Amino acid sequence: MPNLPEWLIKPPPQTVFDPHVGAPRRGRFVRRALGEFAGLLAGPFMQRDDSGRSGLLQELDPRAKALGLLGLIVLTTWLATWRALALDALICLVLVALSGIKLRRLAGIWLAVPLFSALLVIPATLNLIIPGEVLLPLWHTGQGRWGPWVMPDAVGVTDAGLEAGARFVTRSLLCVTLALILARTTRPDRLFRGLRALGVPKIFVMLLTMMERYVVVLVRSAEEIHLVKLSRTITPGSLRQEQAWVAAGAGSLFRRSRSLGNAVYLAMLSRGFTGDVHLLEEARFRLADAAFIAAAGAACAALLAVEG
Amino acid sequence: MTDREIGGTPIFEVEGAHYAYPGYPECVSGVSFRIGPGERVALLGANGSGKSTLLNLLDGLFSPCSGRIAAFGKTLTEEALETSDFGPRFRKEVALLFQNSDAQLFCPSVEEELAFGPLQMRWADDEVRRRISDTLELLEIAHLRHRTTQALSAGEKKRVALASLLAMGPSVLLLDEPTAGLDPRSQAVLLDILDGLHEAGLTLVTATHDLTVLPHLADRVLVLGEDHRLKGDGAVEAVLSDTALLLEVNLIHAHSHRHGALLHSHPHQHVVGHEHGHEE
Repeated sequence: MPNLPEWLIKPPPQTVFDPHVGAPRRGRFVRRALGEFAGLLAGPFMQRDDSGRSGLLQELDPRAKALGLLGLIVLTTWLATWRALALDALICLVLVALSGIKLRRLAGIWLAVPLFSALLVIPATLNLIIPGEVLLPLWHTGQGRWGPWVMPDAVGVTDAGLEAGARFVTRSLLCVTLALILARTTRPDRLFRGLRALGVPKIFVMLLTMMERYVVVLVRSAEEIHLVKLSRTITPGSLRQEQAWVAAGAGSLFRRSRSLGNAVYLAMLSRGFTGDVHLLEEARFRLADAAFIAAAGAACAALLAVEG
Repeated sequence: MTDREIGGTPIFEVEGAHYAYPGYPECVSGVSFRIGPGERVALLGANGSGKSTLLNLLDGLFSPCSGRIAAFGKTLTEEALETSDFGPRFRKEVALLFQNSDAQLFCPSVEEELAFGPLQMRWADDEVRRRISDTLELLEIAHLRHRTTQALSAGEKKRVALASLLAMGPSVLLLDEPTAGLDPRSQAVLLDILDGLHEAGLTLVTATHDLTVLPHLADRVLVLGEDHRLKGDGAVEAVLSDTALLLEVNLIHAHSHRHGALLHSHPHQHVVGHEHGHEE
């Protein structure tokens, strides 16, 4: 029997803790936020229920879907008039309705995309980038020069900047919605096969496949690292200590992902991989697929006509 | 005994193989043995004894730093595996089940996973689909065909990983700790499958340190020591009864425990049940 040190030999704790005494630990917010972030990251890869529902888009060949929806996405990035953007939004809503996609799944994205794209576009709303009538002056510069630039008397948000920003946010929202319709109504393996059929290089498709497969594994690893740290944390450390821990955790995750990457490569070699990827082809192009491509083409033509 | 007479042309011939990962100490040291067709061999050793590395060497994924490893009479080198005749045939005939199923299952769905190997062999899609269906039926996992690989349980992952190898129709299976981390039922199912494959004529080489499953996995045992050298080669019963050898390679240990006030020690193998006597 091992000789245990004296401090390790003790009776079971007798203390009964009062559940109502004591302040909640700092870091609970961080833990919850990390968990939610992991869920958000893994969510699109794990939630496949929409692709299994019965709906118009779910029945289609992934090649037809990818062609039609990617065409609409490309065109959306080019639209500038509000009438065309409104018609595009209507097309999106019709597609969502026909596919039976749960609206609550899209609602989170519809809230997040405008927020992030608005953050990106904020500088463009200022008269430093897009000139126009200043609606909201932010600060006065006294009309000086800054290098080669002549600064306006007052820097602020302009009407033209606001409109350009609103268009950018709307276009982003529509593009993301179309991409989500494609992703939610197609199993990833079939989607990647569809991309392959559209001429996307095999190695790129393989990389997408790997990313889709392993992002969840790595997210789970990150969660595990955090939980292990949490289970051994008695008092939260200083900011510098926490920063050091985050850096060490990132390093550990990098080592794990590299090790997993090596193992995956060996597993591929072992099963005959020689650098050229071969995938099962699905020869299943039906009348409905041709009809969907034609409908997507008609929608694009209508958008162009409205755009003028 | 360091080598045994085997019937027929050997599948593997390992002669004085040494291997070290770049920048690390040697993990396989002068190992020599031969494995014949249809044999069921276990590579037995403690953690870090070099079992997994040896499997990778047998699968041609690593090349020995010195010594020689041959498969089907041909020396395994990178050049040999890149040739159009030997490379694909070797990959078809020899399959390696990795310990980490997450590394082995790199395709998004079970069907794609099973299709990967056969497609690398350039077989026709119809033939690939036939093999997928047959293999899924054989392992009783047809219901998983369209499932995503990341949504499987550990036992299901192991069976899908094995199915992905069997779909290629190998004659040799290299198995790295196949029962590790499985619950008793999944373990029993896997052992039954492996038993059936051996009955069908497949050669099985299994790396393990688990003495409880050893009799189910092998007829012959190659024992690796902590110095990464081959310490023994014999039948399962002979190896399991060789307490001195098992103590030397750190697979059993002098175990102390109490019976009331009496404290005593005896070699302990961590098998499910063990009997022993002692004097009052």
